[in-house]
Amino acid sequence: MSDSVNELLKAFDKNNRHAFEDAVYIISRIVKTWCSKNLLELTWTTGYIKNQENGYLAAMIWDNLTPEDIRDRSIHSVKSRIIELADEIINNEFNLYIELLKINDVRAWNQLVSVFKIRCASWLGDRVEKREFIRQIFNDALMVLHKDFSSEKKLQFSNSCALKSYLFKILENKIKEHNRENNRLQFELHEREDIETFPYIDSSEDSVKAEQLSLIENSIDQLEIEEQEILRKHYFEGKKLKKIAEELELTEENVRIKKHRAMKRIMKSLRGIEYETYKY
Amino acid sequence: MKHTNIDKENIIERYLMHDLSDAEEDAFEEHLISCRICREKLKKTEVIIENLKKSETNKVFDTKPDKIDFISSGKRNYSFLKIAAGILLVIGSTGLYLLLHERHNAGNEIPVADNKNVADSLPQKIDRQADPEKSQEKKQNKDKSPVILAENFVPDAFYENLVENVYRSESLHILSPGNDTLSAEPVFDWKYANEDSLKLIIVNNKKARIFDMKIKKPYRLNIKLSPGLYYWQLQTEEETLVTKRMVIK
Repeated sequence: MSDSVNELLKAFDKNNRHAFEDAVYIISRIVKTWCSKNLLELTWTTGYIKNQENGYLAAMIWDNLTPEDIRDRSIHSVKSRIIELADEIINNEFNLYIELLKINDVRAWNQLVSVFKIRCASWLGDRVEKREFIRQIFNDALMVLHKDFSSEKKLQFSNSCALKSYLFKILENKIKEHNRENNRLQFELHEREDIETFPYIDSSEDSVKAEQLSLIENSIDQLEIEEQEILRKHYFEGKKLKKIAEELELTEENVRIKKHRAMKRIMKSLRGIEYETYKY
Repeated sequence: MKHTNIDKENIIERYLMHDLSDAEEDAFEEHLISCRICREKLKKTEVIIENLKKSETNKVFDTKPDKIDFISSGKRNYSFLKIAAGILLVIGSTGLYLLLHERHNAGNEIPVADNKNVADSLPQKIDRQADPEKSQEKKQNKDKSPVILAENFVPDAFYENLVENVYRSESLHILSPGNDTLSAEPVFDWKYANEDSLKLIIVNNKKARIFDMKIKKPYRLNIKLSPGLYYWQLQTEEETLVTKRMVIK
């Protein structure tokens, strides 16, 4: 029943480093999936801003696991135990993270901006008619949040999902404001340029990640426009293949094949990168 | 979960997109414990999807007012573009054929096709029309292919003159591109007072404007230039600081 789950037990042997690394990876994978299903932002924890990423959290969970939690259990029950531990640790970490935001920690704010930017890009793209204003609207929303954090207002968030909702709410208001006073705002934007820019808007990435991004961008550029469109709609906008097929007037199977081929080609172009450096 | 099914049913990607049932998800995670190949593939796929999102995010946030973004606007219908491209292709190729045919019959000179020598021969090319002997020499090569390519390398007298004679600003130092001949996308970088952003203009050898935008240094040109000779200028609000040529191989 759980031969492969019992494999994890090898990681308790202190001399078996590979088994330990594998176990940590599996745990981090389980936690990551659970978080994103529950709309939690794992990256908004102190572990992440210390640049220790997910492995740090997973190692903490591993420390709290006992052989009895694993031996002859089903994957389901092991997972429940992992998630139970993760929930507690993530909550503590998130509360610390909020404290860091309150005392204006640069790395914490950078982390918030870089994650939130990705989360809301597609959402903003759908709602703001003129794309050149997206940056400004986003910037304004962050200014509001920053002000809220540094004011006496008592902000409390039960988890990262609540913080995200709060941010989306501000963003929504900003868009309404923008739509209502479109013309006036346009004038203002022109006047205000570079006066009130949110200071943490561009978080710097380490060189490995920057290299990955540029490599992948290059290989995407070499795909056909239709393939690019499919990848964008599916992964970025999160649309189902069926919907994409309707939009592009293709069959679903056709879209699936095109997407598969495109991914394969990108994967091929990545063969040169050293993946050992990729942290989980 | 069997390893063969994972590829067949595209489990890894569906796992990352949360498109599996709970039972399937458990089964796949159990499989991950013992399968190194799947772990590696999962890591790779995750990196690709993450970066795809990042790249699209940057596109959404970096849209400039004067940039028409055909790829990122979802609801556009491309069929009119396809038709237009088709018509242009037909007209273009017919025209080109007639043109070449006519030139061939008349024995006129057609620019040399040899890519490697193009950069070396640039400065002399302006004089060619005035110098019949030289054009006679080159004439022997005229049947070499690809002739169409060579047309993209013919220098434009107006811009050649600018490149040679006008270099107004002493305080401007161009750091990149250092070479005239480039094989990859050029990166524009300079040192000029405290100006981090200048207007960059790129024209091709037929004076057609290909790029015209305010850029921030260092700037990597994100459009693909077809092989040919180009001229680029950096400008402030008041004046053109420099005109240079570049050859894309």
